[in-house]
Amino acid sequence: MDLINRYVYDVVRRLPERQRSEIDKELRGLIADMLTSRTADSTPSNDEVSVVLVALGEPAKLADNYRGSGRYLIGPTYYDQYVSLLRVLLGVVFIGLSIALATTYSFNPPQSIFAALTAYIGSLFSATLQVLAWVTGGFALAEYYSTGMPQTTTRSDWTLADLPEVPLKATLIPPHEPIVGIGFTVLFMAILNFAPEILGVGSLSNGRLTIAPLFQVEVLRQALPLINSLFALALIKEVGKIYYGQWTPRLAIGNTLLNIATIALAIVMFPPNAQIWNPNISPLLQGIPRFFVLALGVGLVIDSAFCLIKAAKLMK
Amino acid sequence: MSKAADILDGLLQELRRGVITLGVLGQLHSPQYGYSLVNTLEAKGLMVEPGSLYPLLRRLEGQGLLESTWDTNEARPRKYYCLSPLGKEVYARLCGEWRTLASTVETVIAKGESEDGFDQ
Repeated sequence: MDLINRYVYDVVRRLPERQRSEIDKELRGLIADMLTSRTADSTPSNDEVSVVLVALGEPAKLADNYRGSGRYLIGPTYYDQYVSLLRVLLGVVFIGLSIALATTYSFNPPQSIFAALTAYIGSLFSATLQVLAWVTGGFALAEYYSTGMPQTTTRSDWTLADLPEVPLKATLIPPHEPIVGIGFTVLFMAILNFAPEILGVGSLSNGRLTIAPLFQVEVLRQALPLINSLFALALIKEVGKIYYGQWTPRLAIGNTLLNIATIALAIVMFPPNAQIWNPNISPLLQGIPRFFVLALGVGLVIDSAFCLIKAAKLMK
Repeated sequence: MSKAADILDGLLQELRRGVITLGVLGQLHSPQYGYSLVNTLEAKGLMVEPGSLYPLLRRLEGQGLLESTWDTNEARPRKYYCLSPLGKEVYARLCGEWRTLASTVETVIAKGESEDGFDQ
């Protein structure tokens, strides 16, 4: 029974979501029929199941038959994910850049509306291109290395042992989780890169509201390459989650390593007395840097523990 | 030898693909489920892989040539397929096309064989 589950899963996981449940039912019916025609036994032996599944052939090919195979840059398997990720990212870029630039301009008024608009449209354009290029490139690679596309080999060496385990509900990563993660990462990336001034602490003195920026912008700007590499690590992590769809041991360990790297980088870059922090924020709020690194560290440790536990569940 | 066999295998698959559609449509004037169709076709000498028949049935249904119903009364739920009115019309015309094609191809290869001396 376990073999049948794994076989059917290995076929339907390659098919569009909306067809899965019916093809699942259909395949189980077919396998049962094929078993019945081989043996009258109501509980067929593993050997008989194996013979029938091997006769049905490689799951990837069966799935190809169901899809009507074709060669794609980004095929039906990934297309929906591609479009939804692109939609989210472009939305985040648009909103993030708009907010970021609007804030920048309200602190440093531009020379003319025309200059402001040109800069705005220019950065929107280049950011959109970046997103399109990276996302399309990533998905094209995934498509290329997925079993659907290259049909170069004549003989397949597929065996029943290649069947993946059916994922447990508990180890699945809900798809909105990485998408939200990517959204926030991009948002903070945009703010730190384009408008770090908006991160600040407001205080009332003599009836006037003044905002003290959290960072020394000049120092921050020098540290941007390192900070951006932190964000890049976070993005890689989220893409991995989308790709695997569940906490596999490999993904959980990779995630933990990335988290450790992130904590290390954060400790190196943001020590409490570093010049990157604006020294002029009120003494009451001097704790913020320490709190920031601590919160990041605790959050990442919890995240690592959480995914390792889920991956351990899968191993059982 | 094995190369010739490989190539023949591939060509035969291409040839059979369309023929199987014809055979499947021909059997579905009354409802049948997938595996019973494999058996009826096999009994008549047309071998079909279940792994290609099931997807084919879905495709034909998607094109509107077949209608399907799930029979859940039996112990094992089965999807029964039957020709739709559109399917009946297409099938009748396809049969006509097939007969023309078959006789044409017959003439063509008969001529080719004698010209190339294959029938020595």
